Amino acid sequence: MSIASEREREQRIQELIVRVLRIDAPVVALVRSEIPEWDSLKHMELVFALEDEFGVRFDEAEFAALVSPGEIANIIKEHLAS
Amino acid sequence: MNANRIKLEDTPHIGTKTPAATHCDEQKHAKLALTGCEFFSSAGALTRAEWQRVLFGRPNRAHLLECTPPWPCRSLCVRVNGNHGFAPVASALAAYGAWNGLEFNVLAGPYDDTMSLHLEGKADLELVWLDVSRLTGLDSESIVAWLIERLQVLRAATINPIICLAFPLPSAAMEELQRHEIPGVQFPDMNPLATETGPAWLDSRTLVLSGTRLSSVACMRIARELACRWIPASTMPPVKAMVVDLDNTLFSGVIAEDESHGVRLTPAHRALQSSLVSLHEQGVYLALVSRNEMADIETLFAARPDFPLRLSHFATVQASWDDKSIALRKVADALRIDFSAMAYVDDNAGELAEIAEQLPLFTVHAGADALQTCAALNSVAGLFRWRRSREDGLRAIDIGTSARRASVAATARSRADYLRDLQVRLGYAVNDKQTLPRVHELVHKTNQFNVTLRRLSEVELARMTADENSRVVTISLEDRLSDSGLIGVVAATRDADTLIIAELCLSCRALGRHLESTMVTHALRILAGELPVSRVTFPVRIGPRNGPARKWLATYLGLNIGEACSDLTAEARWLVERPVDELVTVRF
Repeated sequence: MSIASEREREQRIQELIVRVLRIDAPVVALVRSEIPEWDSLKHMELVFALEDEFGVRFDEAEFAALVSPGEIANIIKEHLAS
Repeated sequence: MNANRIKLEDTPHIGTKTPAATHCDEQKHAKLALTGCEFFSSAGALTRAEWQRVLFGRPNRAHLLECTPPWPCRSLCVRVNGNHGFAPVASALAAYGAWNGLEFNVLAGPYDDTMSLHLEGKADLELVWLDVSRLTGLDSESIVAWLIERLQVLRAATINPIICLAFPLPSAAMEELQRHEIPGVQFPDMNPLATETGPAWLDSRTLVLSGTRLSSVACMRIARELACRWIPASTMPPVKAMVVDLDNTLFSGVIAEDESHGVRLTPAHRALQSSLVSLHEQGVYLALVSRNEMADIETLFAARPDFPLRLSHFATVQASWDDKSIALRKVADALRIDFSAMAYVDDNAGELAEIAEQLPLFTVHAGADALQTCAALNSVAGLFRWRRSREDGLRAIDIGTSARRASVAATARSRADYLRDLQVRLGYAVNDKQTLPRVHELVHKTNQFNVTLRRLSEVELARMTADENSRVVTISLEDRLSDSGLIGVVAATRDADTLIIAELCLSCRALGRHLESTMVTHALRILAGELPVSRVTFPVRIGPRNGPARKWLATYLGLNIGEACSDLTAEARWLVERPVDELVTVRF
């Protein structure tokens, strides 16, 4: 995976977070607990959207680990690599 | 017309009861009360065309999120009474609803395996959402019995339509549920959706996340059915006509270039045509609008016996080089229906944009993938109905005879000759529960000849048939040219010494024979016989299209006011003694 496509992936993750949470700006440095809009329903919606967008299937343990754009990018990267 | 201008001095049998309905209450029931806004604009039509690939192709949550409507939508409140997670369905409902101009507000209570039913707040529809595998210790027979009992309790508590989605249930249990005809309760079978989705139907992995064993894919599929078919079938008037373009819509190719044998019927186009044939068989009018010569169209259908669609399937064909919007106006005139009861399919986005600027008509884009077009076409809100009445089957034949009836009228020497020649027969029935679904359909879809616009629900109509002070009288019409079926309803309730008309409507197919007064007078005679009173009140409601009914009522009651605009009361004796057309045969 090239750096450019990794950046594109991170950008797409940001776009999905913004769209699912219906917030105005990206949440680059924040985690789920700091974003009130990121409730359990939005989390479910985000997980399903990420799975569809990147063609991956998270396991149950990973659901709870998808808490920031950086963590999401890392977990997706691992899935795509494997 | 203002109620104060009605002069009643010269008509002693008439009186006003309440002030005129000065606002239009049709909006609640209109298919899409969006005329003049961006939904019916070229931008709206093109945006919806773009969405079709997302909505009716391979479902993808990330892409669904992008389908946010710039147009205002009609809001419907759905109350969920369930025992497992509905959120993954609710989040996908938005995009499918928006495509049809609908917005769903979901009221979901806590999961409740006992279905103890908390009905706080106001809703438009009740959704029962059950994972029956959570009901441990019950076999499917016991589950059906328990569910019926719970639904009867829900039925008694609300007049809202009810949709019950219970899974997993074997087909035999589904059939058993469907056999219990509780008014206004529907049991869509999710088994075909499960079969279509395959192993991806369930996903135990996501139970912790979504509260349901149904997968994200399954929930998107259910959302599509709910938003585009099941909820609209319970809450909206039906779409009565599907109008289609020809070239590159019903097949691949252009007959002017490829000629009849050169155009290709791909498997996907065959499926699309078969779907249209199926709609025709269910009583939906099909109409063809094409920029071709009529002779070329006739040659095409004659030369292509492999086409599932035949020219005879179309109730009307408009072949012209005019703008499509002009041709579509001719279709509406020929079928005597409003644009809100039609949808149009065309491969040319430019045509869709032109139409959207001219007409308040729902459009579907025929894209490169005819299977997607087929899915989109079958997702037009109001096209799917829970059941088809006998009249649905009669409608296409009936409309086909209107030209012959006009010819009889043109050649008849007198009105008496006309009626003698047609051999008109009227049939009346009182409180016939078998026809309640058709009565419900009639009061909800009739716009032009509808005096009260009450639009009673199926439950309210059923309650009237069981009430000793109410009656629902139905009118059927037949002549030597066609059987029009059940075409009219007069429903009324006695309040002390006054009969109050709840519904008075006649199908537009019954108009034009100048028998409206005869039809209604016979119904009033029946009502006055069953519920003796001194007065009859007609609660008139002004709607955007019921001018013909209000004009008729003014004339019927002998008022020189053009159109009835306020509630009118007449002496019952005067009404039942009105003359009727004696050349019409009547059976009770």
